[in-house]
Amino acid sequence: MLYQALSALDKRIKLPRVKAHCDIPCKIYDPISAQLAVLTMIRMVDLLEELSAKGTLTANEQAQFSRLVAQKEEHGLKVKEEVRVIWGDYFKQPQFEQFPEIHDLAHGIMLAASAAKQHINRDRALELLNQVNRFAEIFWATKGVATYTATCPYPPAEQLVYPKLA
Amino acid sequence: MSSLHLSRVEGQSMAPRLPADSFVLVMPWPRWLNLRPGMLVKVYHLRFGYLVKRLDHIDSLGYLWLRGENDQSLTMEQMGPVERDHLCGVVCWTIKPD
Repeated sequence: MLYQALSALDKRIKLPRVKAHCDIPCKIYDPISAQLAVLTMIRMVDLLEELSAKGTLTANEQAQFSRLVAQKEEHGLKVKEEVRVIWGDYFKQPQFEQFPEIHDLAHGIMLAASAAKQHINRDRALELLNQVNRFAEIFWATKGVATYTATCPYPPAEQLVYPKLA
Repeated sequence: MSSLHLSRVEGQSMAPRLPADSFVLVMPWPRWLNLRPGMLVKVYHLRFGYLVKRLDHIDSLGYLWLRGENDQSLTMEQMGPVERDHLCGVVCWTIKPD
């Protein structure tokens, strides 16, 4: 009775809201951000190798080199952050039971991302991409969404796992 | 300091003590009145806006540390310390949905 009266009052005068919300309960999770971050790392490696092939660099090229390294580093951190959030916030007991490998995989991604950050080495970045793609495959499988693998239509033109949403 | 007022609760982090859509009557709480752990408080959080949470403890510097009622809540560490000046009041009455 009192609750109904207050609800009616609330409709009329819109009482102030106070949040008792959860850890941002948006439920928006998507591994694509991690996948794109790895692609960026690979692209940075490609551009860095192009510059390295020149031998001596002009001042502008040296500045460009620094920027590319910085971007590679930044996106390495982004991969780790995105995967950590999905693994830590989205995955729960039912998903762990469905895919027990997820713990090792998430940890493997942390190590692979560090290795890809530490070196200008395409193979290391590709190894990271493989693991992140596997992570994406598992993520979509837990949602009952099938996936397919295709070459991304932009540099570095690597294989990416996409959800079949249609 | 704010005056005695009603607020409507959004979210489930305080359930079952305070389910979503409950109403709370918030009473201003002057500095000279002690706050006790376990009290339901309304605060203004710089990052999350107006929150209703349970007071966990007050640290030696006078900051409030808050927690939810269940494991879906933002954790105490995520919320961090809240200044005493950002306390809007103490919940003195709750009206849950029928």
